[in-house]
Amino acid sequence: MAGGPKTHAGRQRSSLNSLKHGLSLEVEFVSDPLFALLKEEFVMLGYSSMEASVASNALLECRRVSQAYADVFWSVEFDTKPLLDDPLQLAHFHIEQDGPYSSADIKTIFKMLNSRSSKDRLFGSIEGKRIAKLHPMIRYHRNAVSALQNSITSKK
Amino acid sequence: MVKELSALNEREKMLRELVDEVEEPSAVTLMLVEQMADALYWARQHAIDKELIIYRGMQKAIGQAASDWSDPSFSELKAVLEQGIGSKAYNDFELKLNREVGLTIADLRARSMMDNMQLISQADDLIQRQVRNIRGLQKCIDLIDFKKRLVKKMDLELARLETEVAALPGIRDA
Repeated sequence: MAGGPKTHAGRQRSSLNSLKHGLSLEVEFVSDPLFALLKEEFVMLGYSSMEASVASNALLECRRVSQAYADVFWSVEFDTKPLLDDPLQLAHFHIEQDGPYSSADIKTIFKMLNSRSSKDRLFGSIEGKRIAKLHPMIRYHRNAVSALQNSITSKK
Repeated sequence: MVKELSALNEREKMLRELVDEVEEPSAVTLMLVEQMADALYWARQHAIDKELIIYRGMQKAIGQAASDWSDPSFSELKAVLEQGIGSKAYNDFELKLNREVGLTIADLRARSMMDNMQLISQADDLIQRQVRNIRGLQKCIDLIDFKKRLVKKMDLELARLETEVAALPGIRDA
């Protein structure tokens, strides 16, 4: 059984997962203009009003997951070139400001500026980064399609 | 083989082809078909990404093999691999690779797969999920289509029954 993230950093990272695509939030699609149309069609196919609502909601949820999936895919950017090659490039700040920054501060700023490129280097390529970013979304797709299938096949 | 998908065009093309197969399009069937087109598109896209990850790993493996050979660029390597086994470019490259670094293309591929095992496994998971999505959506379309035909058949039966009943002498006629 997967135990989830173990380290503090891992837990912090995973706590932001749902914020990126918003799929953990349950959505009711009653106000969606398509909802009424879909429901009407399901009713015409012999589904009860309640079953038709559930099926329409499930179909619109599938579409929402697909859209979020596409958004994540297309939003992936990749950059392995560090913004700064050398922490010494920040030294002028130290001199000009008459030493308001300690060397530890400079190291922190250097790391911060280069954190994206160093993270991207771990993925190896944009394809690798896309795959790694989309992998956690599998469960949303699985749940959405499974709920849709259940709602449509519920009426024998 | 790996080809860059021209994203929107490819998806639109798939969608149009699938919609053409639908006998009586309705909002429900069109949305199901749209989801299927998406799943098909993503499955193909992930397969391409998986192959590109392997190619990049192969290029890295060449760089890691100690030699004086100036490594091929990624686009050069990709072009050669896309020509496929048996092509002149592929055979020439393999000969050169063997001579310069003592490796075969299969060796490179194996090294790349080992280096990128986690990403490749994740790509496989994504492809498998999309394939399952397609199967699930297919079942939904089948059922909706069956229901439509059933409803139509029942309407016809009812109409025939009504005609027959209307043709029968009623109690009032007796």
